[in-house]
Amino acid sequence: MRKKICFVAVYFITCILLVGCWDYREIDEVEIVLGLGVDSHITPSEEVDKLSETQFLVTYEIVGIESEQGQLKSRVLKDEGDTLYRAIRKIIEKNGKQVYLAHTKILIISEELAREGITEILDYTMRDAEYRPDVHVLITDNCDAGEMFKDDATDVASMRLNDTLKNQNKIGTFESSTVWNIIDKMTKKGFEPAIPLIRMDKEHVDGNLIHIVGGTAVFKASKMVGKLSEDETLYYLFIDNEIKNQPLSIEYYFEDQLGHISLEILSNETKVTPVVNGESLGVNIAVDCKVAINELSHQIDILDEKDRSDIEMNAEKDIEEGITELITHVQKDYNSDIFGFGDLIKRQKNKTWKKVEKDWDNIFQTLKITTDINVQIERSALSSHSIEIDKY
Amino acid sequence: MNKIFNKSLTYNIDLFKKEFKDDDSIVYRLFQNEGSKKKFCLIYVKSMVNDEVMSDNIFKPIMSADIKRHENSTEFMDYVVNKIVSINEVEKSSDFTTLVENLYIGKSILFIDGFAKGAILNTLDWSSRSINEPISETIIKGPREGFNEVIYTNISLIRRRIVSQHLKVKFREIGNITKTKVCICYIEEIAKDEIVKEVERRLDKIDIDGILDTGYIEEFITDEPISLFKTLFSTEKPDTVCGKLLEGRVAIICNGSPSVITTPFVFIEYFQVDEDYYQQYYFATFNRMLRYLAFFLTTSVPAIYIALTNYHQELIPTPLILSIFEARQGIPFPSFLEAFIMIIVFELIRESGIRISKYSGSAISIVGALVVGEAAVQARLVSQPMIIVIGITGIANFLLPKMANSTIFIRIIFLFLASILGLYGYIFGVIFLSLHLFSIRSFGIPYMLNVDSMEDAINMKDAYIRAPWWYMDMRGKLISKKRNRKKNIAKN
Repeated sequence: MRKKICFVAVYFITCILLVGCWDYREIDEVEIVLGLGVDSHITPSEEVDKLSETQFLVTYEIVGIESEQGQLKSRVLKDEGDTLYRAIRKIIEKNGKQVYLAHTKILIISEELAREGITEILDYTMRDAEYRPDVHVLITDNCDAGEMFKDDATDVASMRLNDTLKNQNKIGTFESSTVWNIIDKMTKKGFEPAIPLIRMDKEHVDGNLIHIVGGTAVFKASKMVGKLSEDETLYYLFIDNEIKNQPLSIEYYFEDQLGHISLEILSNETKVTPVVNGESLGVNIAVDCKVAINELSHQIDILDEKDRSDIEMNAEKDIEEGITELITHVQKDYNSDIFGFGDLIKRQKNKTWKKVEKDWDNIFQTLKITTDINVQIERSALSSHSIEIDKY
Repeated sequence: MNKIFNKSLTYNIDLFKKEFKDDDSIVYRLFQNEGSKKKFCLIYVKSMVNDEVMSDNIFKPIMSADIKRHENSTEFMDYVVNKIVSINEVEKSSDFTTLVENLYIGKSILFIDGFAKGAILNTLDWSSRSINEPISETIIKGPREGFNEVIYTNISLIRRRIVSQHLKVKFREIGNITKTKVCICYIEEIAKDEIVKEVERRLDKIDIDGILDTGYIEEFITDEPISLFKTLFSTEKPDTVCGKLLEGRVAIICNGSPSVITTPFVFIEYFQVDEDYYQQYYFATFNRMLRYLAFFLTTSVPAIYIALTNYHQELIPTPLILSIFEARQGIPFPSFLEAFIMIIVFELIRESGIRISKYSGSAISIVGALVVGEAAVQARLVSQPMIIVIGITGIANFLLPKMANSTIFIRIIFLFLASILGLYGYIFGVIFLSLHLFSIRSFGIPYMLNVDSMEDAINMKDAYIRAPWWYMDMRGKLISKKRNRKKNIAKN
């Protein structure tokens, strides 16, 4: 009996000493942060030498519930510090409670800061125990990150942004990226991060100030070097094989009249293969896209073989042009391998990669791109005929 | 010192009167035959005898019989006993102690002037409770009979179901003062001899003043007296006992107690309810799964809730943590204390609901629901999630009424561990519990039989699921002697 009690006591003492988790914290003693905005902030100081010192201006979106309606409401707090961690802890001065970052959904970094480099921020979020590595990262499009949480909508901006980013496969104007996959790309040779852009805008429809996610920030290592437009981002998604169910609209001439056809992508498979031909290095992009017709602006017989293949060809041409233009644009203007061609060559043609590895920055710019696009119309949604308009 | 009778009736009666001084419940009824001068005396305990039997079968025949011819014969007592009184059970004894014992169980003693011994006449009339449905084990489908307090009735309820010469019933008396009749019941061809012998051995070792309920016996013969879990099954339903007997288990019936013990008892029997076997098997399987789920819920929900909200907030989905956050605002107690208080309050309500008379029962539920549920939340003493957690725990507990006592303690221990070590503490608790459960035995049978191993797949048919009867053709390997259920044991 005594032996048993001793055993139990030893067991418990060992447990208590070895268990690392002593972080007892009542749930109401913390402030749950859902969104984090980081701006670079220069303290207005008279001393000239201190001006150059970068400080962080951190904006938090903290949630608390308006209990009467049961609706989520958020507060926005700001603080500054010479490091991110200092800035985050300083919030206690204002708020009384420590912030709790494990539920952070969104990390918004200002363009200004991104152009200087985001290593410090990512390192902090990766190192700190509270952050999850799947926090979505956004870069502001020429504005302050702190402003992003002050829109006119009634719900919590971070939650809405989180939903927006989760639905990337339905829209095709941005590609969401998380902390871990940015760091993954940053540390890889032959792969550069691309992060979606966010901006604040007056909505066309009802004039509310609302944030819009769209476009892509192109990075070279940890520094932002340029932007892709929303249209270009769609072709970036094509190359990245991230096309799921995005709409694809093409222009089409209906008997010399310009019209639109909207296609719904049912499934898409992009295969990127490196082509080594003697000394020249190239990449072949094969897109196999299955679509359904969703909207037609003019009357067209979709049951007719010729008309269908005409549409298909037009779509193929559109995609091909888009992809080629995008790659040329990135090659020439940014020289950043956001498509991961280098990584692909490394994996598939390792011998070649070893030869070109050191000179990849230059070789990427001259990389030959060939495309092989195949679009196939599979369905026409619910109707097989267009609406027939009476003509007199 | 034993008292010896002599031929004088008054002397014999005086012996009794001395013995039962100050005991007014004993009646000494002196009477005579109408034709003869012979004196008789009937001694009995008031209200333990059947008055009708006494007057019709003893007084009337003796008073009116023509006994003159035999009056002086030495065989007169035999003559009275065998030819005059019409009583089913008659015994003669000159031993004072035997007579007193029989007197006390409701028999009456007839003394005849001139004989130094008494005749024990069976005039027993025990008014007993009729055979009702047991309150603690209500069912929807199946037999509604329940045991009552009389051992013979209980045995007859079993005998009516198992019509076999293999059903053995062995009596013994336990309790130095109470002399309680206890019987061991088993089916010889199915029950293992070692288990029967072990039960007998343990029963014989019991040394106590009195046994008032099988609960006393349970505590004496259990394998693990300090464990939270029982190693004996107790039920008030004869059909359940018969089911257990047919599986090779041994039943212990105790006079004066409606609950019957069966042993060996293994863990899964907590989850097997007799109604499982009267219902369609898929439905029964579903219900059994629910019971397993309830075991998890009732022991773990408060602990996991405390661990998650106090240590691992990142594990809770964001929308859920937000609503818990909101509900916790302004609650004065730490959540561990909150949970502990609520568990105690729930147990208070439950216990008072049992102790109080049926008619004030509804008041308890009103107080429980309104005061504890509504008002405490309104007053911000307890948060709503906690009410839900304790509610789930309590309801799940009702699915396992036989385990209710154990689960309360496990719940509190888990809660305590979780509040000091988070999920680690909870996991340690689970490890401890499993180690304990896997280490104990009931009459030599591993307690976790059929839960842990697929080795004896036959047994699994009645563990997590309830397989259809036509498919469940073998008995448990360790418990029973003859395994095949279908083969008629009488023919072997």
